[in-house]
Parts: sequence; C-alpha cells; structure tokens
Amino acid sequence: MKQFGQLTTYFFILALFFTISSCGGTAESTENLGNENTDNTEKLEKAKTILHSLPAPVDIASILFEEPGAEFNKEILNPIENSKKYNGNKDLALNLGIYTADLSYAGFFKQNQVTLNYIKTTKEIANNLGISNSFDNKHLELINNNQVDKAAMQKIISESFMNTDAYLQQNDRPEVLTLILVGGWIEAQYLATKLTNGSTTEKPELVQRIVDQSLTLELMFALFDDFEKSENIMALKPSFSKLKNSYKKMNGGLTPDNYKEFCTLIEEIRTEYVI
Amino acid sequence: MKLFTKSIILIAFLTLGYSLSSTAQCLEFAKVKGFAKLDTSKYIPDGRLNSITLSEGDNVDVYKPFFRGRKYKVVVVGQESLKKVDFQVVNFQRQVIFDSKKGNTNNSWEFESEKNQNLIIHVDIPKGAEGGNPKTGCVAVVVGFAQK
Repeated sequence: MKQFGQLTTYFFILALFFTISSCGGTAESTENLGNENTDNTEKLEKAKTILHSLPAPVDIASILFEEPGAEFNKEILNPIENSKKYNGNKDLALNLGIYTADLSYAGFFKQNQVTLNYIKTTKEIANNLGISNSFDNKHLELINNNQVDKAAMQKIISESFMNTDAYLQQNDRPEVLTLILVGGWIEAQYLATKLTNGSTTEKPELVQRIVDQSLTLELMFALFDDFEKSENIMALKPSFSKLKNSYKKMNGGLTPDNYKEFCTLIEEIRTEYVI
Repeated sequence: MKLFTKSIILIAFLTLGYSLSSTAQCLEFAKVKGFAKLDTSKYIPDGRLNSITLSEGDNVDVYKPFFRGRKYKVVVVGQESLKKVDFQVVNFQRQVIFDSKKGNTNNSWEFESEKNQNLIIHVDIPKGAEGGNPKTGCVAVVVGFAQK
C-alpha cells in the first residue's frame, strides 16, 4: 500500500513537470507597454520581450577596418603574455572580448599566424571561464594551412563567437556575455583610434566610422539597464557615461581637440581592463 | 516530509534538464536553419545568435545597430511547430520599414543601410486556432553583412 502511495506521488510529479514544461514562455527581460499609441496604423506596438543585440567583435572589426587607410599593426594588440594576469570572471570576460577583437582584426588582414596565436589565447581564457568548444579544430587546421581567404576567415571567427554566444545563453550567463561584448567593443575602438594617431585628418573615413559607433554605445546603455543588479556591469557605467559625453561633443561637431579627448578616454578605459 | 523534499528535488532537476535541452535545440536550430537561409556564400554572419522559444500569440523585439553603406540580410526562421512567423523592421519611432507579409519575401530582407541607425526587428507569432493549446517553437533572427 505504501509503495502504491509512492508510485501515485511520482506519477503526480511527472504530470506536474510536463504541465510546467508545456507552459512555454520566455526567459528574457520583459517590457509591457500596453498604453502604446495605436492610432497610426503604420506604427507598431512594442513587443513583450526585448533583446538588445550588441555587435560581436568580428562585426565591429569589419565595420572599422574595411575603411581605406586601416592597416595591420601587431604592436597595438594586447600582448598574449598578459593573458596569465587575468583572474575572476569580470577580468577574464572583458579580456576574452579584447583578445577576440584582436584576433578579428588580425584575421581581417589575414595575419594567419597572429590570428592562430590569439585564437589559442582566447581558447585558454574561455576554458578558464568554463566555456568550451568555441573554435572548431578543423577550422584551426584550415587557418594553419593557409587555406582560407578573408571572407572564410571572418566566417570562422564569426561562427566561433556564435558558439560562445550560444554556450553562454544555454547556461544562463548573460552577464559574462555582456562583459565579453563590451571588452570587444572597447578594444576595436582602441585599435581604430591608434591607427588614426589621434588625428582627424590622417584617416578621415576611419575617424568617421569611429564616431558612428555612438550608435552601439546607445544600445549598450539600454542593455546595461537589464543588469541593474549586476555589480560587474554597473561598475562599467561611470566610464561609459564619460564616453557618451565625449560622443555627444563629437556628434555636435568633430574637432581635433574633442577627438583627441575621446582617444585618450578610450585608451584609459582599455588600460583599466588589460591591466 | 522526506517524500515531499525528494519530489521537489526531482521536479527541479526535470525542469532544469528540459529547459537546458530545449535551449540547446533552439540554438542548434538557429545555426542550421538560419545559416542556410542567410546564404553564407554571400553574407558573413554577424557573430550573434538571437534565438528564443516563443508560443503562438507571442512576440519579440530585437534591437540592432545598422551602419551606413553596408549591405545586410536579415533572416527570421521558426520551427515547423509554429505554422507562421512574421517579422517587421521598424525604427525607434516604431514606423514600419519592412514587413515580411507584404510581397514574396520568404522571411528575409536584403538591404543597404543609407544611414547609421538602430533598428528593431519585431518578430510576431500569430495566434493559433481558438480553443486549442498554443503551439510553441524556436525562432531565430540571423543577420549577415556583405563583404565589400
């Protein structure tokens, strides 16, 4: 009789589980805007679920470095030796983003050996963060054997970042993913500003692309709002607020002075991350 | 009491396991179907994987920056369990720029961005038949850019 009672209980539990599972629903942050103006049929109501899709480092690299005048300079990368210095989720994640931007930059200019070295470094940092399988071994072999053109290289880097993205989503670690994206964005901006030598006239198209990135910063602030309880993300906000002001000045009229000020700010933030 | 505790633990494990496997399946679906439709011989995936499990009657907004002078392809795919998946692209004033329901769009949009703009990809799963249980499935938004 006791066994029958236990069996009945387990049956009930399984039934309850399948009921819960079939309820569906979404895990992302939600925003309810029931009072949206719907008078204008051309305007669309906001959705219940919002996803802020910050660009991946490979995307930012291709936006910035496809401009004329951009070239490869190994000296401005974060040295691989620094990777041993990083501990703790925040430092590891920010620098995973930084190294991913570095390898995207090297990959963009088809610097195969440098790209491979940086891939190895990102794999180590990813492992320390508990992220596995970011790069496929068959892809590494193709790069090693010089069997990839520029587009194929970008696809490999892009796909590997998607693996990291997927892994972190699957394991519910949005904070780490955000830190990686922030680190990648800062590094791409740092590399680009370095290539301009802080001058608005040497590579004007590249400078314009750097200024255009205020769009990404706008989205980044919206994403930060989803992490009000995250100390690690909130700690980034003060320096990013300074960046926002700097962009505001440049968007109001780009001058050699406000661009130099921006370059200094980017370098300061990046130095804080790479230690 | 002991049985009750065991039961709670069992429910927690089953729910977590189901949720993880469902997310993994959704992400795999996003990559396989999304990439195929993107046509990676022409477009380089942008590196982000925007996928989510939705039910009939649900919707999601994906906010994304698009930059001047670049050619993009936006692809939205849904699992077969969802009979229909629509999407619109709107600006921050919520004005519709693209609607997948207008014309033979095959749930994808290729365009060149004339300016720098943050756009919203609004994905909508129409409601199913009245009285029936809403169907649930994975939806993925994949964006690619053309190499210059």
